[in-house]
Amino acid sequence: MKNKFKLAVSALSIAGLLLNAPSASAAVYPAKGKTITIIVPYDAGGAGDIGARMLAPYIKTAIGATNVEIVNKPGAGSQVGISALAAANPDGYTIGFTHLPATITTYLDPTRAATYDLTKLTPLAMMVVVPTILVVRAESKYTSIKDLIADAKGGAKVTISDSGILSDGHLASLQLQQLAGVKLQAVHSTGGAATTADVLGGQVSAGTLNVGGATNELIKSGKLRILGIFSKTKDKTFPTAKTAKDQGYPIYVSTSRAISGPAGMSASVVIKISSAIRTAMLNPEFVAKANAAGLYLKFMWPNQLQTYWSEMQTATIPLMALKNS
Amino acid sequence: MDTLTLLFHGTQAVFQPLNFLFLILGCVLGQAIGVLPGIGSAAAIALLIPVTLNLSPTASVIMLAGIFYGTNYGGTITSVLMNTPGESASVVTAIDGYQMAKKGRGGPALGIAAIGSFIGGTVGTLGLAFGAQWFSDTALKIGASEYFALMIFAVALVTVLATGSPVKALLMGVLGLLIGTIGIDPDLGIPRFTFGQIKLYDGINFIAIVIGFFGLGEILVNIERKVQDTIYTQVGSVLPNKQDLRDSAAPIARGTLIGFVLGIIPGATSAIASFLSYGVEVNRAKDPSRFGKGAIEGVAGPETANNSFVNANFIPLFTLGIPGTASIAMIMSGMMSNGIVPGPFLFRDNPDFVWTVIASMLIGQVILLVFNLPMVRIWVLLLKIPYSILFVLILEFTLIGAYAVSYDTFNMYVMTISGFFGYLFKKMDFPATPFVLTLVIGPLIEKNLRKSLEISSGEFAIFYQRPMTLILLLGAAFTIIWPVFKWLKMRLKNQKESSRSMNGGA
Repeated sequence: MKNKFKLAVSALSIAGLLLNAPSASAAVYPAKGKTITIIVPYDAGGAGDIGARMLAPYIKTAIGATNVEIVNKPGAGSQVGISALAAANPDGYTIGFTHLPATITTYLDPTRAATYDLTKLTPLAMMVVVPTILVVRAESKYTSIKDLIADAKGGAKVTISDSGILSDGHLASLQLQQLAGVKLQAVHSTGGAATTADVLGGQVSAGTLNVGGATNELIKSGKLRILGIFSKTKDKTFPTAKTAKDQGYPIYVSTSRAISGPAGMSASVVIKISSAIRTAMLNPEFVAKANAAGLYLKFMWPNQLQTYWSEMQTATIPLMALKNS
Repeated sequence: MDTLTLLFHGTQAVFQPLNFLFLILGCVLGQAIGVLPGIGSAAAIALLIPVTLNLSPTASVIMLAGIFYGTNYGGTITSVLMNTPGESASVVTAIDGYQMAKKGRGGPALGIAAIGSFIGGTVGTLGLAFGAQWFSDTALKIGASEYFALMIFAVALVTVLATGSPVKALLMGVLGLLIGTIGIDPDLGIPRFTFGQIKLYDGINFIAIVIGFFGLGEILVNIERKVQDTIYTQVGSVLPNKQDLRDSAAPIARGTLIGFVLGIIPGATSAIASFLSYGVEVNRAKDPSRFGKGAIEGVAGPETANNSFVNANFIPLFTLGIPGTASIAMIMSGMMSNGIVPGPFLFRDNPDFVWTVIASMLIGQVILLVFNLPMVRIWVLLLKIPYSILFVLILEFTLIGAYAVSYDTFNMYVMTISGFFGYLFKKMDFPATPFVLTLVIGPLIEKNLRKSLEISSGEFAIFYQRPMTLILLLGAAFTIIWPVFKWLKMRLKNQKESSRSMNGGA
């Protein structure tokens, strides 16, 4: 009797040891019952929030997590949220949106004293890439970038509105000034809406905006005219609009929404997350919703995103010194 | 089809069960959110957008719009009864509204606010219905320099007739300017006065300061003496009397105009509309010293202005797809998530949607008026609660409101510190109005001044070469110089009289 009891106890304890396999690296990701948090460093309903909330449920299904939750951490133009992201545990349960070029210009700017940079983050996937465009209003005499540059060289005061200092639009106009060798006055406004109002009202000569959404409606109706698109390829919605490269100015600027995690994530988790994001983004239901909302979806794998990010960073560094010109 | 027919069809569509249900839901939610301090319509709309994805676009926007304008009806209540503005738009209402409540005139204050809000909201919506295109085209002509001049004009109007010590008023004004500079420089992107704290990069939150300064400050002053049973003398008649209505008629008319004009300009906020209206009322009154002590014009004008502003804000959104404020930007996100993109083709491609939403806004004003007026009796009953209990409730309110601003405790500290300063300044008789005014308007003045100079490449000529800018700046100068001129004239007259009596008397 006593021996059988001892045998039972040892059998049970061995079984217990075997079942309690060590967690950490050998565990399945995502673990049952754990929530994956996606940090959106902007206000609820603001930039990228709607898109993130649209994508979250599809990521949940694709990755098989119990819960995927969006948490808004707005402030300081995404610095608050991304600081939190970089400081988070790299176990794959905290990821977040890192919009470019805003993320890059924040950490390249010494006055911002950012606690992160590319080495402290793990790029996971790209979700949206929206090319930047140079527009004028219908009444403007410019029909191409050449007209604008010629006018500026002739001594006219040419003002270009952008959505904020070191925004994608500002970076584009800085590069344009360098390549064309002419001074263009940058007028910083508080966002795309204000820039649109400035351009339509004739307060400025031209403005930099992004394709998509309401801007497309204004272009289609003729109220706004595209002078040039700062991307490598033409835009599907506006096939007749020339790229800046075709006009002799190889400038590639866009605003994009990348998803990243803190540095130090394991390779297997990175692959799992990026694959899940890809599957989610290919889901026809999601694609339909995204198109209806005017989102320009573009997926990139982690290594592609890393390259894209580094290239953008390299191109941006020399422009930082021109910040206040 | 002419506008009236379209509007009629839209009205019929509003009464479809689902649309009507969501209209009422939106109005009630908006009212409730307005009452709660700290949570603004922008946050509420953002949270509800995912819910709307399951509804038709029309019902969704009917509800979201209802929340947007409903908030302005609700914000008045805590401003008037507890001196705790729930929204930045209701800050001005607290100045005279709370004083009215203390004198037992809380009912009329709330009543007039509801009536004014109704008129402002309705006129704003009618402007949207009948003249959207024209208004938005005109509004685009207003540039940074005009906006700058308008803000200077507003500051001149409000501060010039400050009662009490002018030195103290100026001090508070400068303090507001100083605190407004904290944060990332709007133009150069360099953090100012942030001491390395990224939480300060966006500046100190206005709502947190105001809830503390007004709400908590008032509590601290009141409980300093032995806590009396009630601090409100008597609760008089609950609704505005004929005299009140007569006094408020002109302020409401002026407030509607001011709110509407600012509402069609992208970038303004309803707080500015209410401040400008207050400034105009102070200047137009025969006896400006009544303001700050419970003048009903100080409630009627601003409340109307912020409601007319809110409805006019839809004009640039619907005609050009330009969202003028954060809340409207949320509504725009809601529209786009539901597949409707605003812009020049909106009226053409989605007439049913547009006219149903516009009709719903008109009916929404009626719903809110009908909801608010009888409720005044109930709200005013709150004033009968013994203050020893009431102040604890208000304190909780201020704390929760401060937390709700950014969902972290940082703003609760801001609120508490502001509360202590509010108490100190009240005890030392420093006026709050100039402080709040410059806090709101200061950053805008700076942003627009610098933007104007960017546009003109550094030449100050832009301020006198553009006619509207020049007129507004001259108006501001006149507002400042005129009282000084009058004072000098009186001094000279008194001197002449006293010298005559010295010589003439035997």
